[in-house]
Amino acid sequence: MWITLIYKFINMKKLIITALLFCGVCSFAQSTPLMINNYSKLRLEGRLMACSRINTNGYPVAFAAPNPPYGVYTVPPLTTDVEYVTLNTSGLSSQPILQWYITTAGGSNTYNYNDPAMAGVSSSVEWAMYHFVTKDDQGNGVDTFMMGNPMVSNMAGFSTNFNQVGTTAEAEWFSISGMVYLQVYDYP
Amino acid sequence: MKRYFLLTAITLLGLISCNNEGTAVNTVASMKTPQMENFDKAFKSLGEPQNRPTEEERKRNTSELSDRRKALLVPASKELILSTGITESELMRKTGGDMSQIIVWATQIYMKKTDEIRKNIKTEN
Repeated sequence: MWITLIYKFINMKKLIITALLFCGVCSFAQSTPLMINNYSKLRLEGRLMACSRINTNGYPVAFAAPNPPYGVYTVPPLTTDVEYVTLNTSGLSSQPILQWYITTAGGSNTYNYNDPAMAGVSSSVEWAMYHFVTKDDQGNGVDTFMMGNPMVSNMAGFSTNFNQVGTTAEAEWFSISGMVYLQVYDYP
Repeated sequence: MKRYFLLTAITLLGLISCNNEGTAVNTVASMKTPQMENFDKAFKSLGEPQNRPTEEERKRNTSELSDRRKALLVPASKELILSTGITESELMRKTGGDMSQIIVWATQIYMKKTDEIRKNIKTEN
C-alpha cells in the first residue's frame, strides 16, 4: 500500500520539478539577473538557455520560447536594458519570454513563465548560454556566436565563450558579483 | 460625400495614432536622466578598442569582469547612486568602497528607473 502510493507520487511530473526545487535549495544554487545590451546594428537570433551547474546533464535545462512577435528568441538591433531578473518573471521584461521549454530526467515540458513549477526551475539554474546568429537588416546571417559561461553550459553539453569576435560584431558574456551581462558591439 | 469625409477622418485618426506610437518608443531613451545616460555610456564604453579585454584577461578562467574594466564603470555608478539623494558617506558605509557592490547597486537603481519610465509611457497612451 505504502509503496504503491509512493510510486504513484514519483510518477507525477510536477513532483519531479518540486524535487528539483529541493535540489536547488540544497545545493545553494541561486538564480541571478541577466542583462542584455545589444549596442550593434545587428539583430540577434538564437537560443537562450539556463541550466544547473551541478546536476547530471545540467537538469533542469531551460530554453526560452520565442519572444513575441518573433519566431525564435530575438534581441532587436540597438536594443539595450533587456533584463530578466529570474526565469519565473521573464514575461515582465521589455522583451518578454512567455514560455520555457524544460528538460529534466523525467522528460520535456513547456511551461508558462508564471507556472508554479517555474519557481523551482528558476532556483535550480544559472544563466548558461545565448547561442545566436547576427543578422543584418536584410535578414542575412553574418556570424554565429556561442556566448555563455562554459563552466555552466558544459553541464548541458554546450561549449561556450566569454568573448568572441566576429566579422562585424564582438560579443562578451561577463558577471559582476553574480549579475550576468551579455553585450554585443559593432566591430571593428 | 459624407462617406468620403468619414473615411478621411478614420484614416487621419489611424495615422495620428501610429505617429504617437513612434514618439512613445523614442521617449524611453529621451526620458532617462543624465546620470542614467552616463551609466549606459559607461557600459557601452567597454566595447571601445582600448577597453576591450586584453589577451591576459581573455585567458582567465572566470566570468567575473576584471578589476581594470570594473573601474571604468565605477564613476558613472557612483554618480547614479548619489543622484538618488544618497550621500557619499552612506555609499561608502554600505559598499565599503567595493567596486562590484557599487556597480550592482547602481544597476538595480538604473533598472528600477527604466521600469518606471516604461510604465509611465504605457499609462500615458
